[in-house]
Amino acid sequence: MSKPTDPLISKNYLRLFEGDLDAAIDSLRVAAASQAKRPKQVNSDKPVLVSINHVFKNYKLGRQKVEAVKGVTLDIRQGEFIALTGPSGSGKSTLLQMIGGLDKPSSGQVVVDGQNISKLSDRKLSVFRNKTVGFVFQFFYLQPFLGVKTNLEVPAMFARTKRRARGERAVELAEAVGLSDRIKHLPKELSGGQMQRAAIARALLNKPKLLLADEPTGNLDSTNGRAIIDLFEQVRRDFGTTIVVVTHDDAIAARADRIVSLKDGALVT
Amino acid sequence: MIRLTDAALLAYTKLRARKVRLIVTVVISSLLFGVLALGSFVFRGVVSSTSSFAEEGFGKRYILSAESSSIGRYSEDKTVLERAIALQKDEIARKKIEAKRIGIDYDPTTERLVYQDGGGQSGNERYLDQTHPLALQAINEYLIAHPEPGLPELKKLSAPYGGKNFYESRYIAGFDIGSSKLKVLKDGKESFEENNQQNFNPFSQGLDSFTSSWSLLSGDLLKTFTLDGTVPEISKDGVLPIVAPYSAVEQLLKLKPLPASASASSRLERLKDVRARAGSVEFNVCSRNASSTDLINQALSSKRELEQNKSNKNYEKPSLIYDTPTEPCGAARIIRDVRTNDEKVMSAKWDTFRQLFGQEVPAQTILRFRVVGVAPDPPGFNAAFLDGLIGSILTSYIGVNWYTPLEARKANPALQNLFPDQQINGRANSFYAELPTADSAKKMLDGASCDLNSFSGMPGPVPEGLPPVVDINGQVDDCVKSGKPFYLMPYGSSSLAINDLQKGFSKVFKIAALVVMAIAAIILMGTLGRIIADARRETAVFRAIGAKRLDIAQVYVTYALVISLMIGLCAILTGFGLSQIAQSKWGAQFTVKALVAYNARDLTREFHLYAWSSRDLLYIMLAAIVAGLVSTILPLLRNLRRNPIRDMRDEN
Repeated sequence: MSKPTDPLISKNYLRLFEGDLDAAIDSLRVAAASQAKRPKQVNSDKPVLVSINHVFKNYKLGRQKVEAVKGVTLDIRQGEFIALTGPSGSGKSTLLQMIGGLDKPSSGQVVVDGQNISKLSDRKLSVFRNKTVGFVFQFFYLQPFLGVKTNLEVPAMFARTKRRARGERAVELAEAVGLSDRIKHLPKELSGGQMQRAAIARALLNKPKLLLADEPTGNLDSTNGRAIIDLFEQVRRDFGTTIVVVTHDDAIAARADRIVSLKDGALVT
Repeated sequence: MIRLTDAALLAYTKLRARKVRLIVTVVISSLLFGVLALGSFVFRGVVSSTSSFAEEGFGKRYILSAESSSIGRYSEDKTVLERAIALQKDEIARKKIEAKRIGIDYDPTTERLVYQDGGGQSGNERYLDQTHPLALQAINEYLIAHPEPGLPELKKLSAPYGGKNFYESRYIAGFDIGSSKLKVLKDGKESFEENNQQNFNPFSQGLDSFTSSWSLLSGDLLKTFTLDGTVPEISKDGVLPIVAPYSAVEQLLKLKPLPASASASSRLERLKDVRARAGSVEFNVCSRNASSTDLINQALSSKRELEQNKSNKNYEKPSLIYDTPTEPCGAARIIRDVRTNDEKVMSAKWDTFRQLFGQEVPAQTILRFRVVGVAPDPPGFNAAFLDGLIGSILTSYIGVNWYTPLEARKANPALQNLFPDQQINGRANSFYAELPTADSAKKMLDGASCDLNSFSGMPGPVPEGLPPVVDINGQVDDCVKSGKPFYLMPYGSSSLAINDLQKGFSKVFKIAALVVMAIAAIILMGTLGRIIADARRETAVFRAIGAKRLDIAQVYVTYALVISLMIGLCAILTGFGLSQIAQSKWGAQFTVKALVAYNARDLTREFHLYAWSSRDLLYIMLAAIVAGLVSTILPLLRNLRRNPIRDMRDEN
């Protein structure tokens, strides 16, 4: 794991604030507070898979500068099940996207599986998302005109996995998520829970080390929601996959090893 | 890059999006390219069929016809007019003396002048009356002094291009034979009804076209059109061989022309019948000299006068009345002669006087012909569009359409008289050079022909708004000086024209392909752009699960290729289908026309209105593919540049 950059000595740090010294100092204060609130590590015998160091994410909304994530520092160890919680607009989805390499921090660094993904090229980021990470979305995003099995194989297509190998893996995963009898069905022939299970199976196809789920139960009833969380636990147990779930649901959060809460872009627990 | 089969699989899912719009787009684009494909099928079919038929005609011979570029220059030369006036002055003087000597009352003011007024660009100039014998004499003197180029000049001109065979033709035309008349004796009878209406009409068909179209042509060129088993030579009993137009042979065989609606099979049967029996057809033509024609006209005029005065008791009949002959091509008969001796003596003196000054003794003779070949009819003036089109495509013509071998002229004084060495008034003798290849013929055509760059205009002042008259004579002089004394034209077949047409078609085809491609690209851009824009969320999901930008591009390019291939294939099938419809509707008609036009021995040959050109079809496919790709590029680039997070969020 690469050594995190100390923001106090970063030559480029001030540049991020375009010479605004007050803003830079405010940022440092928030970072320091965040450091102080760094949660207690669990599974401390396991290596760190995700290391987030003093990460800021700013963007402009019209003329207004919005700080979506403010100096978050967080380590996630292999095999951990983390729940990212917080009110709407607290920056949890943005943090998740930065961990998954869908977005880049304005400052700070995100290191996943030893790769500083903030510095990866677009092409390498794609490979990273394909091989290291699996995404599960609230709205499933399955291909409507492809059967379940083919849907599961899509990430493997981008990895150029051989047809036979990926087919076997898809069948295996469909069985693991309880969809073996639905393998030839189109997504529209599945229930919401089944679709989400298919989406989880798809996310697992390339055997990622990290599974990122953004409100995976947000579109499901409580029974199906629970079943999905059961599935996450099963996945962690069977495959040793690290899971980070963004959720509003306290019941789901309670099932996690650790709850990481954000408010106004900063960690609060 | 992902595997091609995977890209195709993902592209397939796009095909199911916005199905109706996509189908409409594919249909419209296919129709556009289909028209292009139809053009290719039909054009290539016509060219290939024409080439196939041409193997029996002139198609594989590259012949250029040559006509003197200085033809008719005597009419521009004032010295000819002056010479004619001088000749007439001299003749009038001699006539006065002779009239006085033989004691007749000659009035010079009744003489027809050698010129007329109202010519030239100003409309006030004198011009030569080229039907006047003295004008013709002046012209002949001019032509002897200024001989027009002939075969030796053509041989010399064509030598650098490899000219190998040379031929000649002589035309007959109304003016050339003065007031003498030629008339086909239909059913062996001579009709006098239209005696005064016989005019040069290039659009007349059947037997009526004989007078304006009969010509002499080197026998070698005629072989193409001769019937099997016939010999194109004068027979021992003096019968002249002739190649006659198809419609005339039908008439001679007493066959009614088939109606326009006749089926192709009945036309083919008719063709076989005409071919089988044409060799046995003989017909006669009456040739009268000017004096004989004058007496016939006098007889007809007397008939009308007597008829009009039938009930007029005070009408006094002329002392001398002529009637038309009872036998075909006979001399006019005297049916009343109550002249006094003095009148008869005076009349005889006048006859002697006129004959002394060039008037011929009335004479008429029957020319006997035997059909030795059948030539296609030229498209008539009022020909239907399709007939005209077919006629112009299936051209294996030899100028006009009644031909006697030129070699027959040597042994026949009547032919020598009708086809004199010096031709006057527009229709000069033509000469022909046969070149070894299409290329050499094209080179000679481009390099050795006198090409004038504008029409000389009509006589009289130039009407307002029209371009000024170009100095054509100056251009002709330049041609002669630069060693180009002939106008050259492809002759006998459309092979050179087809070569040019093919090159031209290829150019036009490429331009049309570009235009269609641009239109199709715009249409496709509307639909594909929409479909790609619709797929923003899907692209974002693909990006999230590890697709590289190139992978996404590959999926959409595959998608565009699939659409393009569909359009290309549909277009080719549409074009082929339409060409088949054209074939079933007009193919048989073209076949019969072609069989006649090329005098095809093999009557099983067919004319096809379709043929594959893999190059054209490749162009169509390429154009469709380029249209598809071009229409995809912009929306795809827009799509790839988008932020996947925003797209996923926006779509929720």
